[in-house]
Amino acid sequence: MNERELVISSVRMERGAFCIEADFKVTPGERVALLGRSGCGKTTLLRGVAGFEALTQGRVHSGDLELSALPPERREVGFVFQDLALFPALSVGDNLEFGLRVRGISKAERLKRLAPWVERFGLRGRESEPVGNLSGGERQRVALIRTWVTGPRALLLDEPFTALDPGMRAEFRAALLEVLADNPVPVLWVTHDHGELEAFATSRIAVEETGGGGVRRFVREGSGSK
Amino acid sequence: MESRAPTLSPDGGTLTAALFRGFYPVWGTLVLGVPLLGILREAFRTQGTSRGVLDALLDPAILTVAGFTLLQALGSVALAFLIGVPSGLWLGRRMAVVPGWVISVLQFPMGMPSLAAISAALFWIGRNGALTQLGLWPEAWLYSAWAVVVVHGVWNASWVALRTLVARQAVPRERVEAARGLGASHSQMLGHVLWPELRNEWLWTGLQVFQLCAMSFVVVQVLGGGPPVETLETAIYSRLRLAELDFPGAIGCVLLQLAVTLGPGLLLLFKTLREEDARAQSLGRVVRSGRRSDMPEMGLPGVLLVFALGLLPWVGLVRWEALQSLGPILQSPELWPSIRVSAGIALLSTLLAALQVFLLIRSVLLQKERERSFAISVALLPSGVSTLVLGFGLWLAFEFAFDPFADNLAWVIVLQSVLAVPFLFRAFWPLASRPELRLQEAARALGASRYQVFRAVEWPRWKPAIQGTLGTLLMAGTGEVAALSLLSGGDWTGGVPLSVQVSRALSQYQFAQAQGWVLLLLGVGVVLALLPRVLAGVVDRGGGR
Repeated sequence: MNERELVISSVRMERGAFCIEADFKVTPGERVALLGRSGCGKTTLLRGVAGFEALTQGRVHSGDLELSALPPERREVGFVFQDLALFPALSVGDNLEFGLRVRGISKAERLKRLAPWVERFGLRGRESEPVGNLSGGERQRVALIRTWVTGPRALLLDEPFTALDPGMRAEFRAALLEVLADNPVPVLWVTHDHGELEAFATSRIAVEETGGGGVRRFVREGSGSK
Repeated sequence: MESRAPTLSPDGGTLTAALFRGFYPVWGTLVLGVPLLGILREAFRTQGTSRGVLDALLDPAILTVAGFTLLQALGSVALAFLIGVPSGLWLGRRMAVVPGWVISVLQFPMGMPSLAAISAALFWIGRNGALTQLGLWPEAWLYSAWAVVVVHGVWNASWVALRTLVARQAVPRERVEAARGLGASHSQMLGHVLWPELRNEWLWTGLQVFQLCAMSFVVVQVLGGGPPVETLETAIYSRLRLAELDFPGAIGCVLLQLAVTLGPGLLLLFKTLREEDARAQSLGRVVRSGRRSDMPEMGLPGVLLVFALGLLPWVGLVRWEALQSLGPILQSPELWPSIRVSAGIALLSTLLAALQVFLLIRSVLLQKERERSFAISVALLPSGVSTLVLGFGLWLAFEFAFDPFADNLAWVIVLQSVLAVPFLFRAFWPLASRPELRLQEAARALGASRYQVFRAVEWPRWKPAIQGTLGTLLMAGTGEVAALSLLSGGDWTGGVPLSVQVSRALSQYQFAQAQGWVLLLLGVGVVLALLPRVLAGVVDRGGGR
C-alpha cells in the first residue's frame, strides 16, 4: 500500500431514507472529483472521511494508518469548506497560524513556515487585518494556506470554487495546482462545475443509484480529460 | 464493521445525559412549582377563616393598589420607550457595527443597584435636587407617583435604546438599502421594513421593563413617599413585615401581582417563543470590540447621546457631600464586614445563577424538539415572579428551613440566583442553541483539541455576553434590597450588608452618610462587575495552546 494513498474501503453511511456506499482509492497526486446532483451525499461522504460524520460501516486509511479510528483533530486530513470557515474573531495571521499553533509549534517556527506561502499568495502585510477585510479570492487563499501548512495526508475540498467569479476561480485553481506540485497528496473534491472538472480533475467518481432502497454508490468513472 | 469515529453531535443516551435532561423539570418544580403551590395551598386554607383570600382579592384597597401598580408600570414603559426607541434607531442609523464601549455604557444602568439609583435620582429631583432648584421639577411631584414613573422610565431608557440598536443592526443592510433605493422615507422605512423586524424585540423588551417596574420595591418605597403611592410589591412587604401579619392580604396581593407580572409574560411567551427562538439576538453577535473607525461613524452627537442615556442620570452619585461622608465610613469597623457580606452575596448568587443556567441550557438542548419550547418557558418563568412573591412562596413551602426573621443569607442567595436565571438564560441561550458547528469542524480538521476549538470559535462569541451579563448581575447583586428586607432579622452578626447600611442611614435621616454608603456600594459593585472582564483577559492571554 502506498504510504499516503487514501483508501476508502467498504464504507457505508446510513442517513435516514438513503444510504451511501463507497469503496475506492485515491493515490497521491491524483485529483478525484466527486460528481452528482445536489443532496446525493457527496459532502456527507467527504465529512465521513474527515470524521465529522460517523460511518455505519467500513474504514478509511491513509497508507497504513486507519483514519476512521481517530477523532477528526488527529486525522491530519486537510478540509477546505465550501464557506471557508475562517475564524471571524481571529486576524488573517492568526487564521493562517491556527493549525500550527494548536500543534504547539513556536511563533518563530510558525512564521518561518508560513512566510513563503504568504509571500507567494500575496498576503504579505495583511496579517494583522480582520478576515472580514479580505476579498473572496484572498479568503480562499487564507483557507488553503491555513490547511496546507499543517502538512495534511490528504486534501478534501468541498466545492471550493463555488463562491468565486470565473477570474478568481482560475486564480485559485492555479494556486492549488502550485501547492500540490510541491507535495502531491491525494485530493478528493466535490464539484458541480464541468469547467472545473476539465481543468482540474485527474479522475472522477460519480453517484450511481441502485435498487429501490435508496442506496447511492460512488463509482469510479475512469480517467478524466486531463 | 462499526466505525469508531467520534462525532460532534451530543450523545443523548448516557446516564449523565439522562440526569441533565431531567434537570429542568426538577428545577422548575423545586424553585417555582412548589413555592407557587405553597401560596395556592395557603390561599385555600385561609378561605375557611374570617378573612379569606377572596375577601382580600375583592378588598377595594388592594384593588386600588393593583390598579396603581399597572398604571405606574405602563407609564414607566411608555417613558422608557419614548426616550429609548428613537435614540436606538438614530444610533442604529449612524453605525454599521456597535462598538463594545457603546454596549457597556448603555448596559451600565441595568446593573445599577436600586439604592444607588434612588440616590442619583434625588440629586436631580429631590427636595434640593438640581432640577427642583431650577424650577423644572414641581414641588408637588416630590416623592410622588410621578417621581417613581420618571425614575423607572429614565432608568430603563438606555436598555430600550440598546435592545433597539442591537435589533436594528440585525436587520439585513440590503433590505434597508433596497427600501431606500425605492424611495422610502424614514417613517415608511420604520413602518414597512423595521417594524416587522423589530416588533418582537420591542414586545419582549417592553414586557421586561414592565415586569421590572411592576415588581420594583425600594424605588416605590422611598421615592413614592409612602401611602397612597403603594404597589403590590410594597403592599406584600407591609403585610408580611410591618405591623401584624396579614396572610390573606399578602396572598391576595401575591395572586394579583402574579396576574400582572406573569400573565402578560406567559401570553407573549407562548405566542412568540418559536419565532423568538429562531431569531433571538445576542449582544455577542453584533458587538465588535472598539475599533477606532467606529468613532467617526457615530460622530460627536452619537457619542453624547450614548453618554446621556447611560451615564448622565447617575452623575449625582459622585457629589461632594457623598465623597466627604466617605471618610468616616472608610474608618468604620463595619466597613470590611459590610463589604465582605455584600460582595459574598453578589458573587455566590451570580455563580449559583450561572450554574443553574448552564444546567438548564444543557437540559433544554437534550429535550426533544417539540418539548423545547416548554422547557425554555420554564427557564424564563422567574422573570415574571418578584423577589417578595418567590420569597413568600419559599417561606410557605419550606417553612421548616426558611425563617424570614433570621438574617438568612443562604436564602437571600438562593432567591437572587433563581430570579437572575431568566436574564442569563436569555443572553446565553441564543449562543448555546446555535453553536458555530462549521467553524468548530474547521478547527478540529486543523488539529485543535476541544479546548482549542472552544477558545478559537466559541469563546469570542460568548465573551461579550459573559462579561456583560455576569458583570451586570454582580453589580446589581451587591445592592440587593428586597430579598434582604424580607429575610432580615436585624442582627446581622456576620456584617451588615451595604444596602442595609444605606437603608439604616436613610431611615435615620442621615442623608449624607447614606450617600457615602451608596458610593461605597457602587464602588464595590463596579469592581465586582469588572471581575468577568479580568477573568476573560486571563482566558484571552491563555491563547489557544
